[in-house]
Amino acid sequence: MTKRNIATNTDPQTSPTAPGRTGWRRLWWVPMATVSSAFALMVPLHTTGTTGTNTEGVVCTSNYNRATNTHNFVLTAKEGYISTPDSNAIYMWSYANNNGAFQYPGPIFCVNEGEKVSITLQNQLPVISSIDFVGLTGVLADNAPDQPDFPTDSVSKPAPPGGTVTYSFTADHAGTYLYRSGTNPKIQVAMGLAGGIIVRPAGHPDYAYWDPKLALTVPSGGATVNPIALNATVTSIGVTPVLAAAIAPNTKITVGGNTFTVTSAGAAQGAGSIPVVSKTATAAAPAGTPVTLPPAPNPAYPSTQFNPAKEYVHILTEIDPDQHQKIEKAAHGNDPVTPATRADYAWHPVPTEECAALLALPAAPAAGSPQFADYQNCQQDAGYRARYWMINGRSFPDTIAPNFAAHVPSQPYSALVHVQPWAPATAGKDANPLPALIRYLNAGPVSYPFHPHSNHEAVVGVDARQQVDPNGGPNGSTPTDLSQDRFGIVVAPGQTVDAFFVWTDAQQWDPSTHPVDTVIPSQYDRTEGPFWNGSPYLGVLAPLATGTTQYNQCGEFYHVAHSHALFQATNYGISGSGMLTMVRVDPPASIQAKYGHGC
Amino acid sequence: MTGNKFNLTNITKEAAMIQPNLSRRNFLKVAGLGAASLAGIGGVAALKQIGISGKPARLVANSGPVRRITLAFTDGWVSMPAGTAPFPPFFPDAGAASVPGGAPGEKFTTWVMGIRDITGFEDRPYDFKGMGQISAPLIYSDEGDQVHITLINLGMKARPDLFDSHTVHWHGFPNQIAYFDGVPDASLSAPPNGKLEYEYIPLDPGTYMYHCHVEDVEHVHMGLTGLLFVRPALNKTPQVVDGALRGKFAYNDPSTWYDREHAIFLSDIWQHAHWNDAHTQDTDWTDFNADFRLFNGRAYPDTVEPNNPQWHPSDGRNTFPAPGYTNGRLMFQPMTSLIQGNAGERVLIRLANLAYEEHSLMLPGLPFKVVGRDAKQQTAGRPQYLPAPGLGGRATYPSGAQGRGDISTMTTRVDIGPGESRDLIVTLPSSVTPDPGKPYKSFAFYDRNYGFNLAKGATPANGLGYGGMRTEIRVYPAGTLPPQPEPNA
Repeated sequence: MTKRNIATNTDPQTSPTAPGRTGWRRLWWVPMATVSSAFALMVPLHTTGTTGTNTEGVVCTSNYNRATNTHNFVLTAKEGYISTPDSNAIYMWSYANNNGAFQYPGPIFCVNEGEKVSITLQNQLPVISSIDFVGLTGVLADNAPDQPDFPTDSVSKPAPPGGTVTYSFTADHAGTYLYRSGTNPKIQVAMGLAGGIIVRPAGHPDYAYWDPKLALTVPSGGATVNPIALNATVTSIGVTPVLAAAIAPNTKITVGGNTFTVTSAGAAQGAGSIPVVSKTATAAAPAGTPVTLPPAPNPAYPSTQFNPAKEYVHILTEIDPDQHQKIEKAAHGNDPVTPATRADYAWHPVPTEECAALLALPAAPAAGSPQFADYQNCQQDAGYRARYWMINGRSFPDTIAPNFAAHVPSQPYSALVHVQPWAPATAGKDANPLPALIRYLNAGPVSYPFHPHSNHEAVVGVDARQQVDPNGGPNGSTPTDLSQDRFGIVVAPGQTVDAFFVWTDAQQWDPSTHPVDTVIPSQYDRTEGPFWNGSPYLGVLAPLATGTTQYNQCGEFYHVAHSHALFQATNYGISGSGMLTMVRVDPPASIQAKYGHGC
Repeated sequence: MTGNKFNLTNITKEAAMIQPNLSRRNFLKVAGLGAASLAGIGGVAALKQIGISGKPARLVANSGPVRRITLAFTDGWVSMPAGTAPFPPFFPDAGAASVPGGAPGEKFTTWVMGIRDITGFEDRPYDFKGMGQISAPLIYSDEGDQVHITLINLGMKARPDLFDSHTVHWHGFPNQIAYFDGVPDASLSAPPNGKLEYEYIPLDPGTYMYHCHVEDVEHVHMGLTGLLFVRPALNKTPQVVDGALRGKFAYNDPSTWYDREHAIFLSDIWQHAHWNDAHTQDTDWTDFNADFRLFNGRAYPDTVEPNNPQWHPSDGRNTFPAPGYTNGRLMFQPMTSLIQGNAGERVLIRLANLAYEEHSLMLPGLPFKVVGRDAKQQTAGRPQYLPAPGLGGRATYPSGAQGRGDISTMTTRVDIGPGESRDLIVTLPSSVTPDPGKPYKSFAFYDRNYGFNLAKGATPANGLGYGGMRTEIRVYPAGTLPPQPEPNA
């Protein structure tokens, strides 16, 4: 019943036309009036290296230098604005890719296991900052082991305003990683300084994990070499044809009577030579000698293969706009705080109305009453209250707009999951045997109980570790799958979760072979939703009542996926938004053809 | 009230009436033929499909009896524990209805939205307007049943100005279609005085929940929520496990046998929001701050009060005033959370949480095993995620491989987040020494976060606020209690 359309928390200081604003460029934005703009233009980011331009699914940023086996990235921490669907503009701190435009969240870096990563933080914030690479080990800062800097409340080496610091590490383990500010994180992470890193198994971009103990890779087919002379120093082995699959670092390969070790860089798919650790040949091998690779992976290891065209990232966050406004005022000197408090940007308590009233009471409320509990909260929590909850920096309905949607220029990442029904590989043109992969990253301060409608998701990885017991089974030697199917994906702060998703036409509702056995109310006796296809059946598109907007294209299903702490699925209290996105299930090709609605 | 081109459902209904003993297989054939010939949808193709393969074997084999349930969605009044210190104007709500048959001046405390099972009373649904209950009627079925739930939106007695639609969202139902999922944006909903029928063929046993998904943050919190569960097909083939014949299992795994089952549904009440709704005020839901935490719609100590005598798990009706019911103020909170059993028995506790906070439930002194989570078996041999092993990708496990391992856990504490479910099996001690003056030994089952609530009538001196997610497990000497006739009894 609460149908409120008023944009709350409007304040002259955060208005785009506020006078006296200098020092950064106000980004152009358009409030999202309807989701029809979900099909808006695509605007590529300014990057070095490569950034995906795909309209759906994860947008990967990579910048690999083969000579150094290193990805070189620059993250520019800066201030900017995002917009929310209720037309609020919120001051943020986040990471731009290199010298590109402000974006929230930061870029998603995609690298391969065994590759080195160098990330330079270019700090354009008015405060000291650093980056915490959650879950990665052996991180160097400016080529020395990274260390906390406690005087600045930093868990990593910080850079001063205007300064830089370069972090580097080897991506030594596949999985999903969160990066976020390591300095004064209660403020800086909440202000938006967070992003993600995806580490893929070397040579297996379609697997979430590929355990090196059990599954060294094998190129398909036989490769042949150029001749190797006795006593020659061998640093690479030419192969023909090029490799059909990559070879993981440290793989032992044999050519004739020689055994070589693949270098730490490994060999890429499509390469014409395999780099090996320099070694003197102990036997000659003529051209045409087969290259022998280790045996195939242990097939008992539970597969984490997914459909690489259906990979998604959900970065979960929340925002208290009052706190952001407070920081904005402090950062720009138009807040009556003392220079001392401005210097460290401590949370300045902004009591909510309720808190203000409680804290102003002549006496504390009676112990035991709910007011007393609220009173304690107000005292302890400084009135912090998130009002917006986001997926990839957007609130619904912006979450389902495509990547780089023009109306949210500083929030480039979509959260729409878009699949077809699962079908076996034998199903011809409907075949869709591999699951989608959704990588959840919680950059917020509380657990988010995410509830995907339509089907359970299988949690195959947590905190960049596959959910498997390598020493399972009665003999203690059989890999045992510990993945879990859940309809509640509770993601803890700082945690990452990798989940498979499929939707299967399990009930096979069909207008002719399995019609629903229910009374379908007429258009006069029902309330219709704009995403509905107008029928019970996948692929069957029927018109909605005159005057009802219908976004449905081809009879597809839309299912929501959202936080089930339902106040988090709101925009400042307005239901059906916030941390909420949709799963779109398209009819398979045969159904599209049957009903003549192409997707 | 059928009005669109998919009203071939009427034909199938008529066919069913003509031949009440029609088997599921034949029934579907008739349905298919009716569709093919009368609705003109690919007649030849339809016939061909039926002739060659009939319905997908999985559905036919599993289809059990048809269960039809009619649920009325409306508003109503409930009561938080007597003796709770008032915090005016929100608690107690001065505009509350009087308790029928109650003491002079006795009133309910809290306005809610609620659901009533009016199966069998479809001819006079409006008798139930303003008489919603929390939690909603407990619904259960067997794997493979055809469950039909018809929602009737009665409107709200205390808020005639509202025109909210309603839906049923079976939370967690695997592979649901949008039409039966109850999300108003992506399907349809029932306006006031409207009806909407849902059909479910649950194929996956376990503990689920259901709720209205219209303006969800409000309707869920206001009480349009309840628990439902699906019993496994294994129950139909009793077998000897652990030395005795067992016929009740949590999942299709013999190790999950039990003697008694209790469903406990977790919700909460933010009294300010309830008062606002009752008094035409707006609520900023981001200010959410629960005052009462509930088991089965009641706060302790009401949780251990018995079931409303009229109440039946699959038949949640009660009449007014409920004959023989001495505690009228719990008339619309009919479900007990008292768990009872005999020494040595196994008790299955089904938990579902539609509160907005994560809860940490403790059971000191009685270790238990978490055998289910989100309606999925946790013990070894649990089903795989992808639907057809061996058919696609690498969904299957080669022979000799272990497959999905045992992820059940032994514990004395379980946490459960909003929108999650758990199935716990508690093995009661083989012998007990009754508590002084009692015929049973009692164990506390409570929320570690918010369980330190006031006892009935206590002064609010402990400073720990209200609460209420607390109940008892009472263990009687072996042979004391007769077999459990139904869940939560």
